[in-house]
Amino acid sequence: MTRAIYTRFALALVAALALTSVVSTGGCSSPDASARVDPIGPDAAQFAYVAPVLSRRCGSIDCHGSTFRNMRVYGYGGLRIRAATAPPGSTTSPDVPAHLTPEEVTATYESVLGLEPELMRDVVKAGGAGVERLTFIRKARGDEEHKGHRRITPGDSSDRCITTWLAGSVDTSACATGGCFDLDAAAPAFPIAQCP
Amino acid sequence: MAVALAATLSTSCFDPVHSDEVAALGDEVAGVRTGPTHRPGQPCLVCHGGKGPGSPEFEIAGTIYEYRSAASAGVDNVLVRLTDVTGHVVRRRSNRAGNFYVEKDSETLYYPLTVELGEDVQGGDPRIKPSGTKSMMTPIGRNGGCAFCHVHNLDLADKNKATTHMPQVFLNEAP
Repeated sequence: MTRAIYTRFALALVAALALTSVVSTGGCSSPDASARVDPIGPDAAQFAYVAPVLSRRCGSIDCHGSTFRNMRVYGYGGLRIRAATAPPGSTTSPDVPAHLTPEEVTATYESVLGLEPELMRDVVKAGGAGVERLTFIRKARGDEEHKGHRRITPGDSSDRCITTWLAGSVDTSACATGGCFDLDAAAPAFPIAQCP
Repeated sequence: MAVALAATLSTSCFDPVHSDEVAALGDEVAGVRTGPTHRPGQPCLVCHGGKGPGSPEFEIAGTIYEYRSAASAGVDNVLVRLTDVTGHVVRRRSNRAGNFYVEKDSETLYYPLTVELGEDVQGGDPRIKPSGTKSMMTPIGRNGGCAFCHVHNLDLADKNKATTHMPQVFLNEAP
């Protein structure tokens, strides 16, 4: 009698363990390797006006102008990418050339887009509504812990430049003010200028 | 147990990265005493940034050279004006080594900072051509050690540094 009880208990225990194992395996299953995210980023061409703002506000060597950051910002005074059109033997350094190169604009665009591609897609689909969902916006505004503290203020020229770009129609005048460049110059080679 | 505790505490306070940074600066130059004029061009905040071994602790510190070239000497009595994000202005003058510094105990600055040389000098500083003043084109984002970004004797052939660092802080391109 006692032996039968022990046998039943052992069988029940084995069954419970097997069931737990199946459930936990399913719960920890790997992501679908075939899944893809289409970021549907904001307009890449318009980003030529936004890049100088990010370069100016975020891209110094001691901040995001460094390969040690997830969000890498390329441009004057920070990370540089040698332009394909640069003359042989010419220098490429943080202060040369004194303007953004097309390669730098593209690299910064891809870096920003790659931070939160799904959220970026959602914000763009929503016509720029809910930009505060994006971490880089919250950090730039100082709404989230950020070593560089607040770098743009909601509603200021830099903020308008970025948020209108996310909404699909960049405010180029706001970008020129926030990035301290002359709109008459040809994008993306806006010469670096001293902010007033 | 006391020995084990002491060993644990001593190892937990050791920062090998910082230690290596300090060691990389090398020894003092012969004939120059430790003090305000020592180690021009070196990243001051490595030792004076709060982790030691230098004292006092600095908020901002750097060296100003007359020219861009490596052979240029530090230049004295240059007025450095620092403006923080709140509008608070701090002024310091470089010493005979070209060094200037703002001690942590004396000021609290909130990043980002903008920097001007020669501003607030009557008629500008005649050593800065042509306007008498010079402004840093980008704001300082988070590191108060000028040499963190501005490297003295920057070798443009060194691809690792030349593409990621600015030249030393200088008044003029060339004599």
